[in-house]
Amino acid sequence: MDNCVNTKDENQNRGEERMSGRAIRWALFFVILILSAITVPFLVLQNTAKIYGAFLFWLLFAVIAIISVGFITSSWRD
Amino acid sequence: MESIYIYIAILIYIVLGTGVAYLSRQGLGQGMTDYFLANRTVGGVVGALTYSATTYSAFMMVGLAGLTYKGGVGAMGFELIYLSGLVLVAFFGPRFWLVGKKYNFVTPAEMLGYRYDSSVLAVVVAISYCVFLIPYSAVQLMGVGYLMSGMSGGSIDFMTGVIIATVLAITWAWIAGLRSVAWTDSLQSLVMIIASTLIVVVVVGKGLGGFGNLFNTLETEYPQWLVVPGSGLFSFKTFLGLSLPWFFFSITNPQVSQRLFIPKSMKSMRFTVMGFMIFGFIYTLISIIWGFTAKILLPNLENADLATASLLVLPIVPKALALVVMVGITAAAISTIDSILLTLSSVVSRDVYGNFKDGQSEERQLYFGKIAIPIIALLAMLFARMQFDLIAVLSVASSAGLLVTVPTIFGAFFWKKGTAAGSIISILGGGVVSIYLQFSGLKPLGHWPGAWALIVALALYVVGSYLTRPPQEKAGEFLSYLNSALKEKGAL
Repeated sequence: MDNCVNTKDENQNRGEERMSGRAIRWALFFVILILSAITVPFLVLQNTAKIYGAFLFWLLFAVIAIISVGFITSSWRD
Repeated sequence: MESIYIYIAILIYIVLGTGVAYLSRQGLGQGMTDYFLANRTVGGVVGALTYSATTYSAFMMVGLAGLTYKGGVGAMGFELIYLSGLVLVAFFGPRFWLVGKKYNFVTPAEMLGYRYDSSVLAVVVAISYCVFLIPYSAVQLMGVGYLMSGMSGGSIDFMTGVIIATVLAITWAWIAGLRSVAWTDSLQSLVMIIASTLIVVVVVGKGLGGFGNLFNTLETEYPQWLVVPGSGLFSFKTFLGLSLPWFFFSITNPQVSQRLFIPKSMKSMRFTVMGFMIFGFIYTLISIIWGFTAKILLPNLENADLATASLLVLPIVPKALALVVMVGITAAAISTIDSILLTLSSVVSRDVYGNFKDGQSEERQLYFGKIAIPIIALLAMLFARMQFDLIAVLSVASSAGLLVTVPTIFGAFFWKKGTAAGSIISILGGGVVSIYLQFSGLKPLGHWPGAWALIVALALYVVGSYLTRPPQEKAGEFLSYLNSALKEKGAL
């Protein structure tokens, strides 16, 4: 266990590029979110010619993106 | 509309803006950091407003509304995907800010040059910014020219509008650097959002009987405008071609990525990001509804780009409100141009002049930067006057062209093996592909230039980096500092 911690610290001291688990999870979440914004209106909603179709979907997509950025930045401190 | 009203509205706008610019001189200090970055002391509110005004140009109420008129809801999709690109700032914002403070970077090109240990790379990045953004500024100037000329029925000629916009952009950038740009941007962003909200509420209310009727009419009379590909404009490949460059805009376009150096604290940066996203969400929605409204009220326009000008002269629009909207659209253009001017002048003085003439003092670089502001503006004005097809092509290519810096920027923070040689061939090779495809009109396999430019840039970056030796010491020190500082600041 101690060895693992030491290795991690040594990597950081050498400037190894490492993303935290939290960062990787958020990155994956955003990849899925953006892919859904590109594909869902074309594949799923292409025949739903209503306001609650692509229009509402993209609005919700943007709201989720904004709230997610709010979550991420809430941990920023000075 | 009589030109005298337009001149009066513009005069009021000039007096107010110039007054704000002069007020912003208070506290103006010495040096590049003070002039180009307001000494890294910008608070969250001004930060959010200047970011919004810089990002959103005349394109929103004219071009985006026109795209909605022509192609429907797909326009909203790609613009909101652009907005969601701010998730990149959640990752890159603290990184830019932290290294900016530690190493006193003034420009993103300087930052990349340091990280890859190559002044040549800084020069290449700086020149690529100029190649793509000067034509983009020219198109913004042309937008103001066409708007004033169109609204006055031709009695104000195109070049008068262009000259007014050029002089204002130079003045407001020159008076106090980023301070005057940020403060006038704040004023202008408020004019933009208030004017556009008011006009949409008035026109939808008076012309269509409210938002409920607007949506009902769309569903019954224009159902194809509520789906993609719908009327055909937004095919999947077109949509992808538009969305891809814009998604990366927040890190590739220096006039906004340089803004990541200016917050006074992490809290200010958070406010900037969140404030901008809320502003952008509202402004996008308003521009889209404006485009839909035009489609219902004026269904047979030959040129969709004239939708806004045509709506503004309808009898249901009070003249005073039409003038405020015209000022709002002009403000959107000028707030984008002066920010680009200031950024390009910082890049030219810091990264080109500073690197070509070794040992130049900061004072000398600043002097050169101040001279560069009117020179770059006059260059853009000259381009606007000539109205070359080339300008429009380069302007359209700008977002796709700057996309080629994406691998270099990602690698700077997340791939220690990335090298300067890989970055340089990636930017040059990707840039050439982008411009070639844009000029030739070729779309291999149906995909837009941005997608191919990014693929080529990524491939060249990876291959070039594997074939050359990375700057291990510099990269190690750079990333090592970030690893610990990010943790301390609670950032990803």
